Amino acid sequence: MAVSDLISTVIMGFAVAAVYFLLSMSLSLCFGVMRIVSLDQFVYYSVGAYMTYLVTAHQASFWSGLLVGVAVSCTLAWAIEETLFRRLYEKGTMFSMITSYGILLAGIGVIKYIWGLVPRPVMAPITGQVALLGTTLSLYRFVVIGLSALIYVGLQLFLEKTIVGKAIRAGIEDADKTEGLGIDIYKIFTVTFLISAALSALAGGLHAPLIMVEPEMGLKIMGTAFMIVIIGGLGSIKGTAVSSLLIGQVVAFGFLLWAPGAETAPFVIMLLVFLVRPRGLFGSAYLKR
Amino acid sequence: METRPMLEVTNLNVSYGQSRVLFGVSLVFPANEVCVIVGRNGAGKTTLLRTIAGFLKPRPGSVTFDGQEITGWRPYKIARMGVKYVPQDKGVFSDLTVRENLELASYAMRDRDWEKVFRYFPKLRELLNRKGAQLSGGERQMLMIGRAILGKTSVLLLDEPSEGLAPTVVQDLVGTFRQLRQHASLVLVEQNLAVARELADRLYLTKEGKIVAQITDKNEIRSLAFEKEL
Repeated sequence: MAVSDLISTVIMGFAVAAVYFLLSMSLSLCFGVMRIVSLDQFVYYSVGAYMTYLVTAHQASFWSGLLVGVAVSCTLAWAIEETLFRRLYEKGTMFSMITSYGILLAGIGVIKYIWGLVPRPVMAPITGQVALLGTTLSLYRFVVIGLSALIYVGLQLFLEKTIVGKAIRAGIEDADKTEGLGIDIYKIFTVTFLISAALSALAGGLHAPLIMVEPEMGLKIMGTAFMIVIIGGLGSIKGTAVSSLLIGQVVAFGFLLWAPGAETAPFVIMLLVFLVRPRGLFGSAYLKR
Repeated sequence: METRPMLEVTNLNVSYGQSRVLFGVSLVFPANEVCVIVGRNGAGKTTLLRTIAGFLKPRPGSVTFDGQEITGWRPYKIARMGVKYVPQDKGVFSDLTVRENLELASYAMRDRDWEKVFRYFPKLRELLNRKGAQLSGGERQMLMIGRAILGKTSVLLLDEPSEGLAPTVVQDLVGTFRQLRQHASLVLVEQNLAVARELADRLYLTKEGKIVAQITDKNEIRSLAFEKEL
């Protein structure tokens, strides 16, 4: 393997990992705090991507498209959380899984109705190239990696330093006890759901220039995102980040070396982690089930 | 003359799915009294406290606090009203420090007066930066009660506070409860009859989800004559 291929694959792996991290973190937060399986996050991911496409197609900037994607996704998520999930928090996980799967299918249907089946390209906001050890790489990939790293640090600071962040951490451990202190846990759920939707939309918008935007893009990434959450440990930011980096590289090298391996390797890693550490790499032993 | 009830439970029936746990339970908890609920495992004592605290919904039944019906209220509202529940499992937030545990209670109850907590539990001051997971059973119990007394506290619902603690720690806790009762009503679920005997002004015996006896006579409580009925 040529050194240029190696470097290009590693950087691509990091860029993909950056997107995986944002999307998986949203799933991890939803399950960690509310104990819901929020498959509708993949709708917000697609909405983020399509809004970025829509805005850039009208000659506006990519970054404003990203913000519009976050705003539309959060509005949608707020409406869904208020009308549907509020009624499901005290029911079993299966209720949220089936309901959110319905929302995902409906979302895909709406996207197909509006934009059709044809995949749409999104131009990267930065077309520059970077020369690294004799290899030329797209600068945009570094921007995606950098932004995701910034969001990681921001999330950590939010959870460690703010009172709402501390309430979210307490809720991850035990929502009942958090409410028993006098905290309106449903408000914490709403904040968590909106943060998750924003992360999903950002993942979609940032991913759009690296892939083609299409109606079923959420379904395609769903399996990998869930595996990352399970490997990293539910509710753990650090675990999700490490797991994303691992799977990002595995997928990137899989495509370089043997394409079918890129699809199956994450499953193998998940099974291995299950055998050695059933709660995931950084999953807390204190989570109340 | 009996003091007015701070908390009143009337005809409480609670089920987990098809399995009924409480059968028409009615109790009164007067202000500034220590009421102890005793009974064997599975008698429904924890279910009773969790229902009063809002974690379970009675069908039917009612809970009245200071003259106001609070049946079916969400737990955070009941806590803010001044009815605080200290669960049995000594489950402080393990990944959070003592300081962060207290900060959350302060935030919820809008009360930053931690000196009040340190007056009862001076040791907590030294443990502020320690994570919940690193605390001993006694320290966890201190933290849980410390969190509960921030803000308005009219009734403290304590589920087996002495369980798993060393005898000296239990004695310290009994001393603390004696001080706390001057500011709030205490409702203790307790298997440790020595603690019940020392603290109780009023004792309820539970059996298979029902209240089978109420004892208010101090001599009868001290003599542990009720033990044979358990």
